[in-house]
Amino acid sequence: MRFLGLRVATMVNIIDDDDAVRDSTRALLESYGYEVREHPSAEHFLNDDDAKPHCLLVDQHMPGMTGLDLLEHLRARGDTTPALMMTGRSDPSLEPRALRIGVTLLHKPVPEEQLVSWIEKTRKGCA
Amino acid sequence: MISPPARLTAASWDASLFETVVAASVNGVVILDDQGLIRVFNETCEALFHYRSADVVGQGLYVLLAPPFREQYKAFLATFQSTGEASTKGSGRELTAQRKDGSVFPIFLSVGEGVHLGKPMFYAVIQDLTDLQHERAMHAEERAFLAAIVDSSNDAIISKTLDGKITSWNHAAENLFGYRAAEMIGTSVRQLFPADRIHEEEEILEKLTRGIKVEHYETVRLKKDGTLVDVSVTISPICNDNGRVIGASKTVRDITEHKQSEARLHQLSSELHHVARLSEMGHLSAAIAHELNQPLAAILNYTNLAKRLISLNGDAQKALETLNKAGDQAIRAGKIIRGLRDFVEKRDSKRTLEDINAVAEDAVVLGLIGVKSSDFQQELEFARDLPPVMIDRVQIQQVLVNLLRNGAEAMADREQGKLTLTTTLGDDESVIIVRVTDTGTGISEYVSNQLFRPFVTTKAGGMGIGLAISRALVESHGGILSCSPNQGGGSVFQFTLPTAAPTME
Repeated sequence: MRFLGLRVATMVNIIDDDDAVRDSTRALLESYGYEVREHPSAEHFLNDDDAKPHCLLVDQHMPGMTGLDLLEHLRARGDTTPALMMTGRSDPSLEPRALRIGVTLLHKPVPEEQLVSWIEKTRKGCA
Repeated sequence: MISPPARLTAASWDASLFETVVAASVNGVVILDDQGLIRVFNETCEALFHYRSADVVGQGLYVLLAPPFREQYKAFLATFQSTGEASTKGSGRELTAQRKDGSVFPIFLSVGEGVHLGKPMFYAVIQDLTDLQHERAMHAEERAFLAAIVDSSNDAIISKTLDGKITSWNHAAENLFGYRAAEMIGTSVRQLFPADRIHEEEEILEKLTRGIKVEHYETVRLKKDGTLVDVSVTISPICNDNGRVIGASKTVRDITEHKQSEARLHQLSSELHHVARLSEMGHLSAAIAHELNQPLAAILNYTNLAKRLISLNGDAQKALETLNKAGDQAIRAGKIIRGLRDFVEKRDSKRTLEDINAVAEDAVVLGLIGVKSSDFQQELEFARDLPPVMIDRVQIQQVLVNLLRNGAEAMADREQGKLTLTTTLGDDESVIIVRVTDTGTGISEYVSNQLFRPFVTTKAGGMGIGLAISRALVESHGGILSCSPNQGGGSVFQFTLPTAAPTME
């Protein structure tokens, strides 16, 4: 972990318009030693030039660009950063779209183990 | 034929001309001598009557006629022969002729009297009227046909002259306005105009004289009994052969029912607005689910973090802060749920005495909007003379719409579905039972146990909120909503409503 100076911190980017979801996810993930960067909207993330994430945690339903809109946009320009979609709404049309661009879709609330193991998996995949 | 006297041979051209004219005549020509007997019978006659000239020459004209004219002309001949008085001459008349073979046909016979070589003679021209009579019959038939159309029309058809005088008045006009044709023909159309609309006639006439048709003009007219009637009027100019406008025909349709159904539709659509809240509810519930999952996600994260803080490094202060945040999120979730309930209960419940069948009938209209009659069979089985129920009409309609839509959706994949809505009186007459039966996919025992709980659904896009609301609404009316399997496959949803207690004086 970072404070042990043994490995490079994993940078997780959370893109969610809900303050509580963002704040709680950040706090939880920071307790695991991940570096977390928050974005209240897809547009905010796209305008952040310093965002160099290892992985993305993206909410689907946001004002403006939706989560899938953002990820399709990223994939289209060759960005293959692993991404986890977290949706609070059951919408059958989302799954095929997510599958097409290789995005994992989970329903909120996402259990802690599931979230951390996914991040760990992508971290190893990246390493 | 005729042998001209010798002294006329000098005028042989004239004589032969006579023969030529007679022979060439398109009409039958018969010449009778001073005895009233046939002397000349031209070729046209031979063709008409199938007699050779030799067959009839020397006989009376009557041989060419059918009874009763035959007897009449026989009598004329006898009179002429005895008194010299001719009764046959004149401008002509229509008679029935008879051929050699006995067949008859209509003719026009005109007889001219003259004097030849000092003796009387008669020149009879016979015109075959067969074709003309056919044509007449056809015209008569056509007229009768047109008259039948006009008279059987459900719309009043009236014709009038340009100064507004009525020239025809059909059966429907009699029914619509209450005036008989005999009362109206020849009188002014103005008596059909309410006083405040009398100016319309001038405007209409002005357009008509310019040859402009007035179509589906909605107005009000006055009936004989003094009441007003909503009508739609179409007025077309009637032109003569020269194209000049000489009158007008009006078609007047009674649109009272149309107006009433329009008003009814208007009323229904405002009710639909209320009922639409139910489907709005569906959309809203999806949004609410999303809203609800946000604080739930945050609560889960915060509590997990608090556990970690305590178990990893015992930072109780930080854990407490985190748990407070989780608590805030639980409160937020509660507010969202309350918002949902408020939504359902927002409208003040307005209870009125209603006929459940009328309420159900409207619900069918509203609930099956967009469902084609070919999609599945729809059947209404309403018990007659049901006692009234004291209900919030819109709320019960919401329940019915919800149940009908569920039924329709359950049969969406079925080849032959049947949706039945029944109303019956309960055994002890204390409740009315309303039942919606479908032949759709049916409901598993597992789901049916939880069916009325919020967020339980078998529908891919549904949130399982409709039945929960429906049950709440029925229960708020003192009724029970329940579900059971349909024997022939599908489901039966039924709810009860207490019958209204008779009001005490």
